[in-house]
Amino acid sequence: MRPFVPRSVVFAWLLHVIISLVFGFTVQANPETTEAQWFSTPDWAGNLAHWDVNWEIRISDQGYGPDFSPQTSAKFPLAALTARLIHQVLHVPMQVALFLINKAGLLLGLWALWRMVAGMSDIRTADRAVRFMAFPLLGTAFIYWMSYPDVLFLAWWALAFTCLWEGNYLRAGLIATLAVWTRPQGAVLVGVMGLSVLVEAARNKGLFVTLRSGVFWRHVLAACIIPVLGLVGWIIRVSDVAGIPFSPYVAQGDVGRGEFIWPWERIVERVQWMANQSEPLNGGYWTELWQLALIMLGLVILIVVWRRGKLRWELVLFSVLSIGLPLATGVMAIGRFATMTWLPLAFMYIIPARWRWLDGVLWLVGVGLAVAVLTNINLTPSDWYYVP
Amino acid sequence: MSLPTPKSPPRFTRRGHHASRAANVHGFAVVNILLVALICVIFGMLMVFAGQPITPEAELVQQWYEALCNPGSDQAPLWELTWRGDMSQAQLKEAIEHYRERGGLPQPCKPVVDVNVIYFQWIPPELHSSYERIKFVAVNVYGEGRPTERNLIGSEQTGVHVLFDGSGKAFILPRFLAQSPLGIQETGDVIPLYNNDGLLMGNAQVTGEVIRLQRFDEVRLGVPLRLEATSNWGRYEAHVFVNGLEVIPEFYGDVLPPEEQERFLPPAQDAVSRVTEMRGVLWVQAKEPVTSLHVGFEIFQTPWDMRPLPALVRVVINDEA
Repeated sequence: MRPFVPRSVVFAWLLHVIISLVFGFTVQANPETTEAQWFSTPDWAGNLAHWDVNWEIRISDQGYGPDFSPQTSAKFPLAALTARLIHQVLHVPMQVALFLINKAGLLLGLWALWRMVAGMSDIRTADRAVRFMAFPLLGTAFIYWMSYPDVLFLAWWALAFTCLWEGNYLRAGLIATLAVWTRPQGAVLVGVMGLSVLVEAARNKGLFVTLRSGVFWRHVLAACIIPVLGLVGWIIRVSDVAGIPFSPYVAQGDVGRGEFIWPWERIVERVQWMANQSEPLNGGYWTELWQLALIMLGLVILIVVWRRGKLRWELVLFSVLSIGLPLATGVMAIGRFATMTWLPLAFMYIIPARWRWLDGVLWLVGVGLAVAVLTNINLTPSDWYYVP
Repeated sequence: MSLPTPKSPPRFTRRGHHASRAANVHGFAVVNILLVALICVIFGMLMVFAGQPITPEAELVQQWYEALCNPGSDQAPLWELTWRGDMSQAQLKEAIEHYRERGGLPQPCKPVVDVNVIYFQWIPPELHSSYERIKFVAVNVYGEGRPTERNLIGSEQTGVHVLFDGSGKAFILPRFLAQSPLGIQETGDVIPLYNNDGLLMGNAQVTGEVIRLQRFDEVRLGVPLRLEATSNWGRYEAHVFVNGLEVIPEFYGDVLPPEEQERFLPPAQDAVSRVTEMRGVLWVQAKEPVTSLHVGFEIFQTPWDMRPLPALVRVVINDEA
């Protein structure tokens, strides 16, 4: 019988909670540690709320508006709204509210992922998948330690796909609605869900019969109409408040996203740029290069695994689009975006059963890199130059 | 027409449209209805949340500054919103007029609150019972016909603290008043200095009475000080108030006689290392008679720290001064 909350999930979650608290309280006890950029407050929760989390605090406190620079409407609202509610109801600082959201989202996300994988294969694979997601080789576990709300998105897409494949289309759509209010990639999730319903039905009945089928349209509408309306409603409202048409997507230009080029051109551009530098490059660029290499390798692995019939195509497409679209506009933070897809799990497919000890090596490498990123982006005005 | 498929993809072991779903259809419906209700509630809240700050400090500070910038406009925001401690309205009016006259602001001017720099401040223990929330609000102040680019450093200099009491009433504390919600300390007191986040950064002490220095018709007053940094400071600033009005202190020692230049203490300095003790004299040019003299200290942990609430000291004035 499957446990409702499996031990692998609880273990990984508790480990992240402990690491978060140790880091937060250690820095609190050593306040002379120089403030990093995008600093919050020097208490334990503030020490976990730098960079993007600081934006969330600003949005929670001020709402959206036309004069924010960078334009805050690039951030989607669900976590900020929830942080405000927790702050107002429990009278805790925003930083603590965002810590609670991160940790609740992480627990929900790992649990949803475990449930999804267990539904597709078996419990042992689900346990393994949780560990690969909890300690990603990309070195991005810092988003589980700092109070990044991204983890909510992991929960939403895992739950939405699970509900969709269980045939509960309406619930899948409702959960996807939370996803479109959490991250820009929520729109990708809805598109893939709609395509999934189409392909599933067309496989059974053929495309033309499917397109004339009322049942098919009911399923598509149940899965997609509410998230689409939710997203459109949000875009209209926040564009009005910010005074920028389509501001949640247009404002991405304010968070390091540039002109649109093909993702592979972006990678080539970065590699050429790094190769042409005469001065030694700092650690942030090498970290990003590591992540880009893993992303390319990981996507190839996912495609191969899908072709061998061991992975659903929806997860591959969702991962490709969720990484490819932001990569088309910039390299910054790409590791974080890739973490909230199926990509961190790609590497578990290539380790043979007799070499399972390698799992632990990969997790340790990921954790080690994440610790390096965490300390470099938070403790010093960094010359690491990694923008999380 | 069938779509090409790879080898059979992983299937879910719980396919909802089979028997398991039929058995739980009622429970499924209830959960879905609850989820629909939740989504509707969240949607409604998002629509409101999008354009609404928790507290209206940006709007209040904008009104307050517009009144400050334009003496011909309704001055009620100045009288109603300013945190003025034990000052009377007449004293407040005098302080504001002095601030305008000494060129604290271009006249006329156009204020624009910098919504990007509105930060929660640490609430010192002695203010816990009085205030629920303290925020620092940066304001860009532009002269008429002048460029209106955002200026982060300038906007912090002209920014104000906003204090909200338990009932939600707001009070605005500008920098140019010889007042501090932390109270006024006395000469000789060792005053703990905190940054905006409540980190203990060191302490300050006015170590003696005012020194009076007259050269021709210029009178300068010197305040003997000791500053001790127990942490690294990004910056410190000292502000001087003569007769309740802010006066710009001397930034360069070469205006002093040679024998005084050695112990000249600048009113602001960047990058002070921890375990540093600075002793010296802070100088200010003043018109006599001087009936009161206050010095305020602000310590910044880093150059980009927000401004803390000022630690204010009343300086003893000897008879000659």
